[in-house]
Amino acid sequence: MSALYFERTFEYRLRSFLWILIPMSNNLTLILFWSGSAGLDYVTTYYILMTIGGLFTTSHVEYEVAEVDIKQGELVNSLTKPISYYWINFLGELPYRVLQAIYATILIGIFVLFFHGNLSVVLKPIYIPLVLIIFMLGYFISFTYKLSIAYLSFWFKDLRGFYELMMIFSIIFSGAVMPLEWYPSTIRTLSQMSLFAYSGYYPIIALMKPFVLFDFLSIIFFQCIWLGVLLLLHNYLWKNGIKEFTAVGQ
Amino acid sequence: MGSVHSFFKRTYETSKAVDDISFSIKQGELVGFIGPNGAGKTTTLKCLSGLIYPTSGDISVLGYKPFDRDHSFLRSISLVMGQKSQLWWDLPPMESYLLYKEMYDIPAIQFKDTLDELTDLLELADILKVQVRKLSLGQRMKCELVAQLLHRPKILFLDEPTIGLDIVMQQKIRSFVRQYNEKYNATILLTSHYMDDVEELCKRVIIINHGKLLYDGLLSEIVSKHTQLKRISVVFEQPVAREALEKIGKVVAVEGQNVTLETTKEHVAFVAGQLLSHYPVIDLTIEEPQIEEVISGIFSSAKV
Repeated sequence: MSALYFERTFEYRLRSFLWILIPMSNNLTLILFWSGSAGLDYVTTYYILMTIGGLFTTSHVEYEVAEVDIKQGELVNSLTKPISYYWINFLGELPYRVLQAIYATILIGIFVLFFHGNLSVVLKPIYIPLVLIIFMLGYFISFTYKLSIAYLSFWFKDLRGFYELMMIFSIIFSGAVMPLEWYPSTIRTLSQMSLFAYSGYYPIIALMKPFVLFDFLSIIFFQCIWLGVLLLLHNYLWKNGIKEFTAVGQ
Repeated sequence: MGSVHSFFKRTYETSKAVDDISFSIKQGELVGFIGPNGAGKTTTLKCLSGLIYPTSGDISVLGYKPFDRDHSFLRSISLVMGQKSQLWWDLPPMESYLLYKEMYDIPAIQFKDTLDELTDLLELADILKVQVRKLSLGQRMKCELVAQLLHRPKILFLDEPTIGLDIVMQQKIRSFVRQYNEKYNATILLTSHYMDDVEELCKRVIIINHGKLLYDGLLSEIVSKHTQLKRISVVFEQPVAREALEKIGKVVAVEGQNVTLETTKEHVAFVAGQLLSHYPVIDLTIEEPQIEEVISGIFSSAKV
């Protein structure tokens, strides 16, 4: 079944390629800026990994669910099928993540040509499975969070402004602006506990810092806590929101 | 100023799309569900198929509460909406069928048999591998029907299945629906603005308007109950003066030697006799008024 979702995604190759250029260009600019005031190796590695890691772990499911499925009523197609709406969306998004990962692999090769002396990854091979789990949980956190906030469209007529606001929070607290340890103490503490950090920041740090087993397990533990909370929230919003769905005009 | 006012204070009105409707349908029945635009037909179908949550009342379909959307229930029903595509726009229908095969856990042999049967009936073999976006409306509608019937639903909700189709295609769809109903003893609830669909397929009709039930019974009964008039169509050997015919009955239309008169049921024999005995008649037929006119009269008077 997932092969069909891949097929649909591959139909618009240029679009998915253009999407990858947007975060790439933003973060390359940041590299240029920060490399002037901090260690080049750390900063370069951090932003490149943040850019590519973000492609794996950041879900973009909210617009389609909120604007197309709920507001325009396309949800009716999914509701009459004997499959969970959560997994329909998951399968629908998976090909984008894989396709972008392929592009990212190509582009990272190009970056290595230019920055090969400045890249610093200290991950021991034995911990690779744990890092993969951290990335996977990071994606599930992002996906479940985005899906949950999209469900708010069951009650509100327009949430685009809200999504933009949440995106700003996400950028700040996920470490996309700068490594979280560089923030002032209060913001640092808050951001390091946030779901955005467990979706975006920790997967990158897991590659860069000389963590031991306890550090990896600690990240996975808190990711599971966040995912559990988000799944409860998701189920609550779905169960109550779907009662508000009118499918008018469909 | 209205826009400025609405920026600060807005008022909302709640309207009932469906209100106090009760009916039951037996297995294998093919029932027409009719009403004007906005009557509440589609809303009722959405409630029955579990798409929307009824604010009050009870709905039971095959023993399930539709809104629970139990997977066993969803595997037993199908909702076909003529104005809405459930096929993937960028892919050929065959790819969507394969997707549904997985979604509905259809065994491979059953999938092949059903697909072969449906594509034969609807003459679709040539277009199964053409992108949906390249299909005509009629071709797409037939493909939609196949997609919704692959899992052999026991209950079929058809919402305007022939909308926008030409007469030939409408006829094919009707014929197909009838065959499906007979072969699988499927229960079908059909909404359509084309009364030909209802007349050809449904013995029983449910009529609603403004969300309320107006009639639930045999189509033939509603016609006889609501029409005290009969129409007599006559073909004369030569033109007859309209004034002379007006003395016998109400003249509805005159086209050369073809004349249509209208009279009450009680007088129809008398009028026919007068025409046959006093004028050179080539042909004479007595008809009920058009079903559209009857239904339209019910909608406008809102009484049954």
